Amino acid sequence: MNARLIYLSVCGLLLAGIIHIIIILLIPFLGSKDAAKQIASQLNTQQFYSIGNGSKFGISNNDPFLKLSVCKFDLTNTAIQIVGQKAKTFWSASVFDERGRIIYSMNDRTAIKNQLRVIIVNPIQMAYIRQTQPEEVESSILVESQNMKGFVLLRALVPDDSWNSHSDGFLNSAECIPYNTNIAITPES
Amino acid sequence: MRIIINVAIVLFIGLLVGGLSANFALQRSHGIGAVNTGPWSARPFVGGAQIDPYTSAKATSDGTIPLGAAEGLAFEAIHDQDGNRLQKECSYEIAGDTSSARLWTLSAYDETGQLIVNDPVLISAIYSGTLVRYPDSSFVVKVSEKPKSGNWIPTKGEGNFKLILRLYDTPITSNSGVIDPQMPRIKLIGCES
Repeated sequence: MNARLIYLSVCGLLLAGIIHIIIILLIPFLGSKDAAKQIASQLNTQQFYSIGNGSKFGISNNDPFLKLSVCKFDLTNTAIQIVGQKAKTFWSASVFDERGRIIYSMNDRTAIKNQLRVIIVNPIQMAYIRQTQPEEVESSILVESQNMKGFVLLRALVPDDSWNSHSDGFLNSAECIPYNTNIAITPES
Repeated sequence: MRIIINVAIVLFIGLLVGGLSANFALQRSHGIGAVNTGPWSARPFVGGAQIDPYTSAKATSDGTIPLGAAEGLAFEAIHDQDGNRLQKECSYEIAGDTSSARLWTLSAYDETGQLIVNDPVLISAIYSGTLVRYPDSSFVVKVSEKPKSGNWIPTKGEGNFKLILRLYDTPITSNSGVIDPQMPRIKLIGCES
């Protein structure tokens, strides 16, 4: 009787381990409070939206000193270029995949010439860019994404209301536009 | 019959222990994959292929948008230095210094993830640029319901709350690994009963 109980407990604990792992791995797919899921389902692509304080997005634990702006992208048909003006305030940008995992992050000091210039490409578009070496690539950060869908999040610091014009100026200047990678590709003659 | 009982026992143990342990791993502040210093705990979100599934699951279940390594690192505390749960009806002193960072913010949230006080004139948060410091750059931030001199984060009501200290543009998230971050102490001053 005792041996049987021990045997069953061991089997139960093994099952518990498996269930534990399954739950942890499934949460990113099933979570309902998920900020990434809200962004994926409610926003249009290639346009920046202000999110965070006072918006319809229920983002928890939001930092009151930072304003957020988000742009959803889909790399299936076109690469995406993110450009923004220089800003006097601290800003940062991060590229997420569809499930809210960070692919790439940067801030104003790690950016080239402190300017927001990012081109997000899928592996095929990356190959095109390597071949053609367009001019923009020199002044932009290239981010290769294995996933076709994702979003870019910009954060700008607002220490107090007097800084609103700086951070709004930066966030409103940010553009999320298609970037054509397959121009001027001619077969080698 | 005996087989059915056996299967039921295994399933019961499996579902109960598996479910509880997964919940525990996410609810616990000092969870798996976290960097801990005193009561503070952070989950560095390293991009690329090395994403820790616990970090990912925690961000999803909290409804937060995590910070990338180049952006900064968020430290969360739900206990004071002695391991007691942070309570809104108590007052605290957060004293010491942080690891080097270009700027940081310290905010107090209720259990739903909203700022405890969020009025046009008063918010439960403080920014390092407007902080009053001692000559050696250390600081004291007082967390209480009643206004205090110096650096003050207002609270109100009763129940549990949490503090999040976010270091922006900090070298401790560099690829060499997060090394022993320096964080302020959270000292309980007293509770109103």
